[in-house]
Amino acid sequence: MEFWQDRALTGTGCVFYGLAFAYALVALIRRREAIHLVFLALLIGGFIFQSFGLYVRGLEKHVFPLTNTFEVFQVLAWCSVGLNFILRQLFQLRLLNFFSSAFGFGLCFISLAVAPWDDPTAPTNISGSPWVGFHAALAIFSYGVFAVLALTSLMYIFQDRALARRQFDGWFSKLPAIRQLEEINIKLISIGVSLLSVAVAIGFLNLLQSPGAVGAIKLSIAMAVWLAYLATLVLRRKHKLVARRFAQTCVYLFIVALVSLWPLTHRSAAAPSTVGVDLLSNGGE
Amino acid sequence: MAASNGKALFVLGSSHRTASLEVRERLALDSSRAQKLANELRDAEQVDECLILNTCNRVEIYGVTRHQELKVPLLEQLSGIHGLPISELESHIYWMTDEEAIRHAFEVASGLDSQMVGENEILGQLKEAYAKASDERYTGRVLNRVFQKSFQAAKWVRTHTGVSKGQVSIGNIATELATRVCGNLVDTQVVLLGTGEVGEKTTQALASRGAERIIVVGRNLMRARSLADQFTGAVSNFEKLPQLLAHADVVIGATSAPEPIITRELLKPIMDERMTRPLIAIDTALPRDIDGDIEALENVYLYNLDHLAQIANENLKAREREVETAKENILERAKRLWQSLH
Repeated sequence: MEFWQDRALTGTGCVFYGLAFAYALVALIRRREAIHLVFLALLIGGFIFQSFGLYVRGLEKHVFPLTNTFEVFQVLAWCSVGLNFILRQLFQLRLLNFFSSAFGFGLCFISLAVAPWDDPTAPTNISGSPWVGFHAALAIFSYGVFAVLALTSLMYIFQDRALARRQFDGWFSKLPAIRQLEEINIKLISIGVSLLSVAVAIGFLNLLQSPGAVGAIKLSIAMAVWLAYLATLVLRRKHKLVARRFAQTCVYLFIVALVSLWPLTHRSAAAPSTVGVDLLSNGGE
Repeated sequence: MAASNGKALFVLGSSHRTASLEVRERLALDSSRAQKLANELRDAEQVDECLILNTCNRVEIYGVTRHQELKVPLLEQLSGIHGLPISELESHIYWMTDEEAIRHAFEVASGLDSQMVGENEILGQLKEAYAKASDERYTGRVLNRVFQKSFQAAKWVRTHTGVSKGQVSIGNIATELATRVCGNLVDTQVVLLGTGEVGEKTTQALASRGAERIIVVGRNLMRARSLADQFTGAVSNFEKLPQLLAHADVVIGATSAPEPIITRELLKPIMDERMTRPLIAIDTALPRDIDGDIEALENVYLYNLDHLAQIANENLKAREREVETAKENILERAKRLWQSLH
């Protein structure tokens, strides 16, 4: 395999994410300050390699790389790590980089390890209409937001447990404050649900134009995930679901959403072959 | 053994390790007496270089001398200053020379020899003493190197070991807990129940970390007012407690009431109303002011004196575990410096 091939590049990105995570983890276990620059260089390095790998994949396939489970997982990892860079700067959330590196590594590693997921013959469901591509990209981006929401919720749960159990280790004291995490979680679920709602609306319009293009199971799963997040947001806004229970719900929901990606992409792969969108030309095919 | 040109480096001192608080009070040197002693040592040509460190926990005289038997004359001088017989003085002092003196200076600078292991204040005090001695030209080639290297050693210890990590005072632990729940303390509403000493110190610690909105609740409003004035806070009575709790982020119990003041029955409807805002309750009172049952309420974090003491002990143990690592490094550094000095 040549280095500049997409899998080698995404694989290198995965190694960098893994190194960043391991480096920070060792520092945390040994109760030493990790050199932030080294950690950040590894994480950014991973992001650059992964971006390049996905770009090469897009060039090869002439479509946005969301045609099989491997690509979906890769793009999801890429979105969440990319979002992490923005959120980290905006909200000064300590340890978010660390959690993102673990998440990025985990997702990339699984997608690379399960070889059948990267099925080159899988027909793309992203048809000639750019709206379908936009719908898919928006949906996966909202999943990226939900991934970060799951990470910040996980941080909330760790902080809450540590405070309740009076754990004062270096690792727990580095987590952001409960109130800060609660605030960012509300923002993230609002953004994620908004994006997914737009994606669902576009998908619904596409469905009206081409009825039968999407199977009932895929449609049901997609709608269930959207409704579940929407319900969680409404309950949170009405103060019916707060604090630890809200954080737990966000984590569980994301696990469900992540697992649902496999049948979603699997069903996509089984769908009839369509022509991809040429992202490099103005008119497409 | 000599540092260079037949000169010896020494430290004569007394600290919490060798003397009780009462003795340390008697041995303390105010700045004018320290200055006088340094001048006398220099004028009598007993020392070539000299630095006097005087804190609440230690008095130490570092010096470079050509005299091999300086300890006795120095003791006589101190005995004269403090009016203590030499025999009594001798039982409370330590005398170290050369490499051992360097190692001691490094340990002092790093907070390893402090009563509260890892505390940072001593480094500032040592830097101040060094700056003063340097300005007066009491230090020379040897002491300059020893203390500059001791500051580097202190920096290394603080950066690379955990001796300074983890709070060990009740007030600082409570502040850290409040920060972990509320984040920035500037907008945090603190309600102090009563005027107990530990509660007061805890509130002081919160105020020092930026908490500005402080309300002191007391039965004796005069006492509450005088305490609140320390924090430019407000005063209230216990009748308004439910309203105060509805907006509080941190509540500190410090009364001498025989029964809990904040009970689950009182707090539950309040927490149901506020839902999204967490409350941290710190109970510094004995008997307790805050019922232990409130811990089961969502978004409530309760800490009593036992919890705070347990955290302090764990942090202290964690610091002590790091001391060995720090001491090994300091030993190496002291050896290297000693070899380079002669």
